Amino acid sequence: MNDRKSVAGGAVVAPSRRARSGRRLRSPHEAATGIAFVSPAILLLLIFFVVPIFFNLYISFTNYTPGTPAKFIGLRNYSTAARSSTFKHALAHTLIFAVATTIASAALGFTIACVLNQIRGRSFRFYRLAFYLPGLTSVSVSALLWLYLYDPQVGILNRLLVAVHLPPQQWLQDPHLALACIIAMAVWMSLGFSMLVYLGGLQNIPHEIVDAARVDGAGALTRAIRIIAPMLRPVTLFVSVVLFIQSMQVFSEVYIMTNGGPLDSTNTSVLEIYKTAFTDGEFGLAAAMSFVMFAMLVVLGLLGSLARRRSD
Amino acid sequence: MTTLAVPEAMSAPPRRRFRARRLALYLCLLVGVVITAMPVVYMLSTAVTPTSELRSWVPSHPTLGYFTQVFHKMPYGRDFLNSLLYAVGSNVLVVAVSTLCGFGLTRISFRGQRWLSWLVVALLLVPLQVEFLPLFLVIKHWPLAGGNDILGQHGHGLINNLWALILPAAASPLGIFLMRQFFLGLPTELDEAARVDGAGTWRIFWSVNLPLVRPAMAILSLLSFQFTWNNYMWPLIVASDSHVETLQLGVATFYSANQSAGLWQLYMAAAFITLVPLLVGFVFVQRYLTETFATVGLK
Repeated sequence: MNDRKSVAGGAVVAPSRRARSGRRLRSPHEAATGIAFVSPAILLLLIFFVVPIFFNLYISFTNYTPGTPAKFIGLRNYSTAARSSTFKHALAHTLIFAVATTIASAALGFTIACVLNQIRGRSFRFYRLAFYLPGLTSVSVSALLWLYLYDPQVGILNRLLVAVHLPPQQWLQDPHLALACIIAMAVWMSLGFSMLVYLGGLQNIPHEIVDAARVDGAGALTRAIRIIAPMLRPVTLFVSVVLFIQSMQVFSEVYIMTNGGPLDSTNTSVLEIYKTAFTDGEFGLAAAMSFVMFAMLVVLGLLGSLARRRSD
Repeated sequence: MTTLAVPEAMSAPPRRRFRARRLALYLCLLVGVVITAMPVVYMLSTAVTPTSELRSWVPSHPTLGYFTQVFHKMPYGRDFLNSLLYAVGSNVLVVAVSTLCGFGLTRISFRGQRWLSWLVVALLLVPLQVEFLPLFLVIKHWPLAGGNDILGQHGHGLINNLWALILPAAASPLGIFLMRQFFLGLPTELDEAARVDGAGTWRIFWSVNLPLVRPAMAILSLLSFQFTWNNYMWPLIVASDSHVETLQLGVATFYSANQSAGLWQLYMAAAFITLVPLLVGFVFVQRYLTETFATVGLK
């Protein structure tokens, strides 16, 4: 007789046992199935994520260069990295870049989202696409475009400056301006993402509160700053964290547009690690640098959550 | 789209102020759009402007000549195919693998499951710079590939092979995490009803849960596609040879190779045709974007 409660291909489960263990069944067959489901992903993670991290740790204690066997040299790479002014400057540039990009992009995204949220229909979709357009461009495309805009001779920015009788700038070739130029481009590219996330967050704000404030006479700016922004704090946290982590890893923009110059003013940490490994061939030192950066990120993360806990 | 604003008439300002406010709103938006979208439009307009008219703002004799020049000088077709294989291949793989894993981590009970979930979350925090160097070495020393012996020595492994791009892209803690979170939000009653009816685990996954997690698969697919299509750094490191180079690499090398020519229209044309595929794709999926960000992004 066919017991309707048997699991196809597996053990027969008595009704009482099933009721007691809740929604999940435990049986050898079940465990094997579970492992089967997760193993492709976990295997990929192991090979391409977990193993590389430990491999990198090992390399950082050696003087590995492709072509010569690695020799264990202990912490020497770490002290070299700590003494390297190029690396320290790169770290500083990266931090400045990340902080500036995050703040500007989040603020602009929030502003645009607030304004855009009051429009609907076709116009809304048009504007949303228009603001997200920069985010769709890849780094190569953006880099070429902005190299063109920033070009001292034919670029439109200098043409605009000259048209209003202001002195033209060297932009990417000016050591004082180059980093700011790249920050501007990065903000341009990321404010679409920021805007989209804030738009999503604004959906969840009950409009009664905002309207009550408006009836009480609060102007648009006050409503935005005093009421909407605090209610969106989780969104701001999410956007800031994502943007910050992403910005700390900046590489392609700088590699294509300035390769770290002029005078190393746009050198960033990932670029420095890349150059140390692939141009200088010093994988060991590069690995050590990457862990120094990782440690810094961890410290920043801890400081961040401490600051948040104190402000609550 | 759920709406936010109450009709203006309820707060009773005079009609004229209402219209002026609306106008100011649109004006601000227009200025914003000028700053953000205009550079892209300018890129297109430059690409079709003959050199003689570069000084003016709008070309009166637009030309497609630069586009044809780009197609001749840049291996667009091959680069596009490589990008497509990379993007689609990794997309399919990461969605399949992550969905299976998400289901396995939430719907089935086995020893070590919680530990695996923690591992995935922990890996989310690992930054790129710690990964790319050793990953390069893993790819280079891949056993039995590219002339390598079984210990991965003496060859070049999977360097300059599309699999070097696809496989690491499928190893995505974010993908697994996304699918897992989504599965956690699904009700289990359907599972139990299916079990009562005698369905096996795979059947439950395929027929019951899979249709329900389509939105999450769509988001993952979109994120993955955008990331892989626009990726520059990783193809630069492992697949820069001309027969496997992706579109993004191709465009950048086209610029640096032809830099002496200084023909900006050519670069803008190349950049534009690199941008177009993703643009077209995005316009089609615009609808789902904001809603899914609202539900998923804030967990």
